Order: sequence, then C-alpha cells, then structure tokens
Amino acid sequence: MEVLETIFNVSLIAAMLRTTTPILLVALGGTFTTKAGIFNIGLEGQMLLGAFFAVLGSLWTQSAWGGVAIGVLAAMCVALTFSFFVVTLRANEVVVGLALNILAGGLTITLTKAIFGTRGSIVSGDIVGLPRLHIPVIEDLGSLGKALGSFTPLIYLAFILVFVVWVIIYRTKLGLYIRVAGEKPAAAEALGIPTGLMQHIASLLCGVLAGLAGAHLSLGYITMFAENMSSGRGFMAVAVLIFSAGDPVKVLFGCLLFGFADALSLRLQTFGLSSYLVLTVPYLVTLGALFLLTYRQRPKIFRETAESLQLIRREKA
Amino acid sequence: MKAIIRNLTAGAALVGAMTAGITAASADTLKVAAISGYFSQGFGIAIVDGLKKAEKDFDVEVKIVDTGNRALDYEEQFNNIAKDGEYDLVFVMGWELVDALQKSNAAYPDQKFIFIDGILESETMTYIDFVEEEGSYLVGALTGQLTEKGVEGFNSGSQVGFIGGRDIPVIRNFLMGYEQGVDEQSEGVSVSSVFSGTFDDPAKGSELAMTLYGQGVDVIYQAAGPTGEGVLQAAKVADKYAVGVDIDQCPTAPGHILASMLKRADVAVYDVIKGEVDGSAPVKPGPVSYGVAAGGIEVKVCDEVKDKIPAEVMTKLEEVRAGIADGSISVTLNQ
Repeated sequence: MEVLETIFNVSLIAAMLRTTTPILLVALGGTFTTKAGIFNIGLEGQMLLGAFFAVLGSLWTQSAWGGVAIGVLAAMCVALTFSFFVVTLRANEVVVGLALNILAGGLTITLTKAIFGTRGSIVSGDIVGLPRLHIPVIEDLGSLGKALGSFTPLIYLAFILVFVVWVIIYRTKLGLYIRVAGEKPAAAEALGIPTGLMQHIASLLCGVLAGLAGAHLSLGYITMFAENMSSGRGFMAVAVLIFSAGDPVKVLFGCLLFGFADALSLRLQTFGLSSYLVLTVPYLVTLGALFLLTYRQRPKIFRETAESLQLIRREKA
Repeated sequence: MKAIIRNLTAGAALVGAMTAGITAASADTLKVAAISGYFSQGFGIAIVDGLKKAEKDFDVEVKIVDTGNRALDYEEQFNNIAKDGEYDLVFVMGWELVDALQKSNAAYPDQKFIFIDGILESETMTYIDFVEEEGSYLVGALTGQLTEKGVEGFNSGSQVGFIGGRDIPVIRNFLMGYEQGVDEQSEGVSVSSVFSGTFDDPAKGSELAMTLYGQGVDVIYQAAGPTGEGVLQAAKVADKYAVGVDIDQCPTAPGHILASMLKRADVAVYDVIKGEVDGSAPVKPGPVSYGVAAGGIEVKVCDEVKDKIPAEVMTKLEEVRAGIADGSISVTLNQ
C-alpha cells in the first residue's frame, strides 16, 4: 500500500499535466495541418526553433512574453516555409518536413555558437522565464489544488486551447473550409474555396501553436535552451495525430495518456527497474492505446488516405 | 636595506629561472596544439587556462584550433596538424571528434595525440582520464553526512538522489563512487538513482528531479549534461539542493547548488606539459589518471551555502579527501 501511495499521489497528477503540456500544444498545432490534409512531420523542428528564439527573445526584450512572441514568430516562419514548399510548390511533405527538422537542429547549434560562442546549451540568469501563476480559487482546493494552482501560464493555456481549437475546427467557417480543403479538395475547389490558401493558413496556425510549445519548453518548463531539447516531443505529437485523425479531443486524451505514462515511468524507476525498460513504457502505452482506440476506424482512415493520395496523383496527371 | 636584500634574492631567483629557460630553449621549444569545439565554455576554458599557464611557466608554444561545427572536415583538420609533425603534443577534447581522431591517428601513428576525458581503443594515443568515481565518492560523503545529521534543509528523509544521463558505464562510475561515499561515510542513508535516458532533455531532467524531491529527497547529484541543467533549475523551483558536475555550476542556481564536482582540466593539461618539458613524466601512450591525489578532481562547496554546512561535516569531508588522496580510502568499480 505504501508503495502505491508513493507512486499514485497528487504530485503524479501535477507531473502528468507538466509532461503533457508541450506535446499537447504542438499536437494541437498539428490538428490544423492534419485537418487540412497535410502530413506535417516538421513539428519537431518548428518546436525547437520556437524554443531557441523564445530564449533569444527573452534575452533581447528582457520580457518573458516578448520571448514567447518571438519564439512563435520564428516557428511561424518555419511553418510558412513548409507550406510554401508543400502547398505552393507541391513538394513531398515528408521530405520537406524532415529537411526543416534537420535545418532547425543545425541552425540552433550554429546560431548558439555565433551569438553566444558556446555549444550545447544556453544557460543564463538573464533569461526571463515565464512567471508561476498563483490562482487562489484553485489553490484553495486542498492539497490537489496546491499542486495544480501554481503552474506557468502556458500549461493552463494549453488545456484551454483544446476547446478553442475544437471550436475553430468544428464551429467556424474557417474550420469548415480547412476541413473541406483537406478531406475533399475537389469539392472545395468546386465551391470556390481557395484550398491552397486554407492550407497555408492551417500551416501558419500550426506554427503558432508549435512555437508556443517550444516557448513553453524553454521559458516555462525550464528556463534555458539546449541542443535538441524538443527531444522527440514533436514526433510523439505526430504519432498522436495519426491515430487521432486530428480530432482535438482525441489529441487531448492521447497526450494525457502519454503524459500520465511518462510521469508514472519516472516514478517506477526509483524502484530499481531498468531505466532502458521503464523509459519505453510511455511510448508503448500511448501507441498501444491509440492502436486499440482506432482499431475500428482504421479501415476508414486507410481508405481515406488512399483516396486522397489517388486524388493528388490524378490531379498531377 | 632589507628591501634591497629581498630584491637581490628575487633577482637571483630570476636569473636562475632565466638560465633554466635558456637551457630549455636551447633544446627545442615544445610546440603544443589543442583542438576542440568547446574552447569558449566550461571545460574548454579550463583547458585553455592550463595551456596559458604552461605557456607562461615553460618554454612552450601553444596553438589553439577551434573545430567549429564543420563535422565534414574534422579529419582534415587533424591531418593538417599532424602531417608535418610540427607539434610535439596535440590535445583533443570532444566526443564528436573521436572518429576523425582515430582515423588521423592511424594515418600518423607517431603524432602524440592526447585525448582529454575519456579512453578510446587506440593504443598509440595518450588519454587524460579523470577519476570521476573519487569525486563522486566525496559528493556522496558530503550529501550522506548532511542527510544523516539532519542538517536544516537536508532533513526530509533518509535518501539522497542521483540522476544520470544514460545507463552507460561512464555514468555508472559516477553512481558507484557516489553510492560508496554515501554507504561508507554515513549511516542509514541510501541513494535513490534514476536515469533520464538522454543527455539533452533538460525538461525531463527537471521532471525527474521534481519526482525525487517529491519523494522526500533533499539533494540530487546529477551527471547528465544539459539534462542535468534541468535538475539544477528544479532545485531552485522546489527549494531543494542539487550538486553540479564537471565544471563549477554554483552560479546556475545560487543558494540551491550545494557543491560542484570539478574535473580540473587545467591542472591535468598543465601537468602533462610539465611532465614532458622537465622530463619527469614524458608523454607516452595509454591512460593517465587524474584523481583527487593529483588535483585533477576536487569537490567545491558553493560559497552561497557554505554557512549552512556544519563545521564537523566540512572537517569530515576534508578527512575523506585526504584519505582518498593518500590511498587509505579506495574507491572501487565493480563492473
């Protein structure tokens, strides 16, 4: 019993929310591109550049929110480059996405060296991190409230954004257009909806959220930048997106599951289980669960993917 | 009058030094090159310090080569240095250079390459090997004592924490030394150890640290590169303690870093050059160990927290240090 108590307690929930947030933010960004029919494997790179420029911006402006803004802008630039190649020039989205990921990794290293003359990481007391909020209403809710009432702002924002993104995608004209552009481009064109523009907008919105995810990582979660600090979170988001077909609510559950498994696995290690084994748990759990959840829909997803691919091929021919 | 005498003796010493210098110069000036991508930070700065000191004290000419990020021409850079046999010693630091170094070493086996902070397979190179387990033992003695005595800030439980980058032999060395230090120098204290599985995810380091702190650990020793920086930051957020590694990390989170386990690259580099110059220890292939005794490893207790540490603990730490230095305490690796 005592063992269970040391694993399952209030701080586990707090840890789960912390580990969920970066992936949730970037995955929510990916819902837009997924809905617009773009397979966006470049999330990792957008996030990494967002993290880097957030730190840079924080140093320049001496303000955490200034840093967030610059991080978001940087990620949007990458997103725009991505959509320019993929939508306007019709380049292969996987190739472009991977190329931008590699570019982001190299660019941050080169810029770190050029600007700070160091390698590996940027750590400085001058980086202004996001403040910890203290929300009295939540904090008053006993020990659970204490654990949940003092996060950095982007954690709360991430969960609010799930709802916002859902509304945009399912309840606004823009969302409708984006979905039509992704699901039935031919129908969209027939209706006079500019599919290309919709895909550009979706990619830009994705950039905003990926930038937020990066900024959260380097100014909220911790206050520093390190080479490759996104550490595969963008790719994890891609996996969640594939199985959730870009539905924000399913994305939320996928990310929460991953966050929970991640936070749990960190605790399991203290019981002497091999780190190599334990560290694979979150990935296995998430993939397994998503696999089961989408078991019935998969023929449909496969069919739709095949159809859309054929459509593109026919258009090209 | 006294002043004059003192000046005279100083002058005599100076003349002595000059003649020594001249004899050395009449032999050959020792030419030393150092190559790495990290000369502008932490460990690299220490190397440069050691080289500069050697340049000042001996008849040594130093050339510093910054590799930059151009991974494609690492090998060419090594070959350029080695091909004329111009340099007597070439110091190398950085794991990303290992492949190129080994190729160049195979092509120019007579060039004396000295790899800093690690041992590679090649038998024709010299390796500066820091005995991290000795420093880790000292850290264990310090954190173990503080926890056993229930010093304020270290009294939440009977465990001290360790966070490693990956579960690999070199990080295991840190952990084994640390565990021995805790076991042998304190009673009723145990080590709770975890690995992040990655060296470049500070967010994960922070999360792991929060987990350990949440379980009643007050101080965490980390050996995890940038992941470890996240641990140091978590110490500040959680109002607990962490221990820095390799370089002086006390300024990262002042007041929350208990100490830093330093690898004194400056001491090691200076020492190697000195041995070569005065002939007391000419550079030869194989590993050269720099541990506590040689001054290559030391534990620096951060100034900001010094007043919180009881004098008896400091005394004990010094005793243990002396014990390791004279060999009465041996730190063993059972792999």
